[in-house]
Amino acid sequence: MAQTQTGSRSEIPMTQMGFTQETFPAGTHMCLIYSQEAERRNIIGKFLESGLLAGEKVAYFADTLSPDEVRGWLRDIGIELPDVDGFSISDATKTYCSSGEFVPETMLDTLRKFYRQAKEEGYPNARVSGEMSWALKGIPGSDRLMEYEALINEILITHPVTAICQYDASRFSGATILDVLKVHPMMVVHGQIVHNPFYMRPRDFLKDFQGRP
Amino acid sequence: MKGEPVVILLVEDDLAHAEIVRRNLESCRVANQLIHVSDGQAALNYVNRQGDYSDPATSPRPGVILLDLRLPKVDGLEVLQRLKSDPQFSSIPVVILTTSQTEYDMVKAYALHANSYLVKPVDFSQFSQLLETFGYYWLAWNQHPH
Amino acid sequence: MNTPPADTSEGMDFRVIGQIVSASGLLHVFPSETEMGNFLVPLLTGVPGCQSTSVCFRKLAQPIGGVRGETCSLCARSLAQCSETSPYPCGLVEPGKVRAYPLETAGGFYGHLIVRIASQREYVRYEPFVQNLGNALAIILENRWQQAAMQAAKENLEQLVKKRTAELGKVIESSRDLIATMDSDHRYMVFNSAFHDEFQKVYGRDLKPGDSMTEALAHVPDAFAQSWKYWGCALAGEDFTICQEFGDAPLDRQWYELHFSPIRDSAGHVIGAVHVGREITERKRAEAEMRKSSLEIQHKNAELERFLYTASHDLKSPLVTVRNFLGYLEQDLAAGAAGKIAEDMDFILGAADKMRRLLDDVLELARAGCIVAPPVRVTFRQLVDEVLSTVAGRIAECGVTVTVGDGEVVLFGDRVRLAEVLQNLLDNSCKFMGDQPAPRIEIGFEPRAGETVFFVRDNGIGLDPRHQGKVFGLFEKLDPRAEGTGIGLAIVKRIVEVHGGRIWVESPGVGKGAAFFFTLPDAVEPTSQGEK
Repeated sequence: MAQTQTGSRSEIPMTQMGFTQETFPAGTHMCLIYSQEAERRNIIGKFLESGLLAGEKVAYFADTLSPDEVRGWLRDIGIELPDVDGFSISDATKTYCSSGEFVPETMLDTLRKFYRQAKEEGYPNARVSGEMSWALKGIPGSDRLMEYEALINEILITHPVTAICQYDASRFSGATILDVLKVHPMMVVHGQIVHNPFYMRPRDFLKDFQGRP
Repeated sequence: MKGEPVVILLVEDDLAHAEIVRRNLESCRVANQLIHVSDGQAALNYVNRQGDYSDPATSPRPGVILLDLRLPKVDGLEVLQRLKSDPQFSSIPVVILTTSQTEYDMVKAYALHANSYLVKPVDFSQFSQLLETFGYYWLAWNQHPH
Repeated sequence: MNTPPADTSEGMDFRVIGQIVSASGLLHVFPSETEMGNFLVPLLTGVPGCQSTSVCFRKLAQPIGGVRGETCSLCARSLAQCSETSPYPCGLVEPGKVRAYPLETAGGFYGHLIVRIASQREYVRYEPFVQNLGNALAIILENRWQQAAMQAAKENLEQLVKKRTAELGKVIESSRDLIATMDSDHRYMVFNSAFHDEFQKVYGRDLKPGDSMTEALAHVPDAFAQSWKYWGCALAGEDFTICQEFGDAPLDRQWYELHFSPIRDSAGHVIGAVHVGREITERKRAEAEMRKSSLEIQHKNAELERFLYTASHDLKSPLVTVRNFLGYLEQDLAAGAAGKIAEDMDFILGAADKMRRLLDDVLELARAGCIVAPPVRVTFRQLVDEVLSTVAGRIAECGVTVTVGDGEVVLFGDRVRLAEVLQNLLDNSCKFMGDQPAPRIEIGFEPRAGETVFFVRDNGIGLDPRHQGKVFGLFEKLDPRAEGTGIGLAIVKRIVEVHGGRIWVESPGVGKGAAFFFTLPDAVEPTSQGEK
């Protein structure tokens, strides 16, 4: 279950995930490797809903659907969407590659800012979810995605944003999926959140990753 | 009545056949008066005393009618029917004398109440025999009211 | 969260096992065997003691891994030599160095998971888990293969159905019968070109599949009511055939035999109806012709019977005469009665003559039924003139005035026979003129109800209305004393009938003349009909 954090224990609250009964500490980093769209929507929909119900600041990075389609989908399953500040849906490509290029440090910064802002605005917590298929478009720097994912784990210690990263197994190669597993401490499998036995410490992973031919 | 010549009305369109009958009855031992008409219409006119036959003196009521079947103007069977359906004449014996041997004609004739049906024999001796017998039977033996 | 320290052998143990075990649960997300392989290979290679890993998946449309065509790329041996049950396929040497786990289920063999071992001691503790992973992989491969097989079968079936449908469609299309089906909502569903074209011709509508009958026939309420009735019966489950006429103009009328039957599903419920229409105009025409011919034949047979009866009868009569008078002759010769002898001989000769004439006429009548001469064109006027010159003597003798009507009619037929008609009628009229100061005969033609009617009118002794029907009978002589055998008019009737016509007599009564009318439809040329 929840491991001891380096940050102060009393500071890390437990949050609901929505699609499972168990609660997890804020800042849990999960990957959802899916092949069925229906399954994905079910899990993500519940994830976002539980965040909104808990009054968290929620951000969604959409790629397979347009922001409007996402809003439509969520409304269809009966989720009340609050004002723009409380729930923002943005285009994943624009968010991750704001300068037209993906730079892990920039995105990490964006994430840190997001958390700080949420706290300033009085939200108890913050959560995000992103459709990671934007990385298949060949945008410069997208090959550094795994680096970014590995480094997030360090950021999340001090800026606990609960995150689910969505990877479509039919579009990412098997080898990449293995890497995705290596950089996410938790994974969503059959609707359950489980420890990811593939997970490697960020530094270990980066050493391995960058050492590859 | 015996003794008085019986009037025979011969309705026959073939002159040769009429001649045969005439010759035979002439030599018959029973007295008779033969009156010959050549078609069905004339036969009806005769019994009804119409047209040429209005004078009873020259057109005495026949005691027996010899009737051929194939006749011009009014057919033999029709003459038969008319005669037999008229109460005035139905009592006059009508003897069919024809070449036709067909069952059909025979049945029809009897159905219309012909008194007798004779077929003209081709054989000479037979014909004369027939007529002689006819003469005896119908003129001498057969009784009829006047 | 932290990962457990990496250098504890026990910790690594569980992590690796965890990885292998959870890999089984993740395999189902991959869309293809290739990606599965790409996932598994680095994963298993990371197992302690493992040097390298490869996968060999068979039973795919494009087998992957160690298979290239008919040989195995791992050992370059032929696939036939690669046995499913052999733990060391590919003839890979050093059993201690290579493990090949067969991927097989009860349903079949799907390939191998091949692990090259660097350190037996380290690897061996993970081997059971790798084997389990192999089993899980085999099940997944089997599922995928079965699904693919089912999909292929389904596609095959669909292709077959499409092909058969197209074939059937061609069959229906090639038929000249009008074929159409209707669903239970009264919509035309399938129909062939023959049906479509005829529908368009009769109702002026370009029918499309799915059109409703109500809409398609809205403009012809009578036809709609009838169609509704018939299709309705079929949709109610009735199977029946009817004959119907289509077309407006008399020349355009066509007969169809329409067969309606319901279409049922496998449970027996009616889901539609089908109609097959066959054009039978020709057949109807042939049937009508046959009926007409049959009637004609019956009629002719009856006539023949009558004729035979009459002829045999009428030949018997003179025979009676001959025989009897020969008898008389014998008697009279013996008696030497000269006058009687002459009389007897007269009767005999008369009878013999009569027989000969009868026989001649019978032959003549038979011949009159056959048109021997090839048909020629002749105008009515020409025919009349010819006949008048033939009987000129007789006409002069009777002192008859003959007038001929105006006008032109062209006849096309046997000239001799047609002349015979006129001649016999003229003869007849002359014969029955009776005693009068101004005997007249009028010959001509007039149009009556669309046909040309020819006539020969006289002011002779006429006919009793009761006898008018008999006058054309064989050997019927209304006056036994008149000359001839009474066959003349019968011959005329025969000739007229052979030309498709009919003949009749009209007379106001005895002493008031008579008019003979006849038609010759087969001899009159249509263009000249009734021109006056």
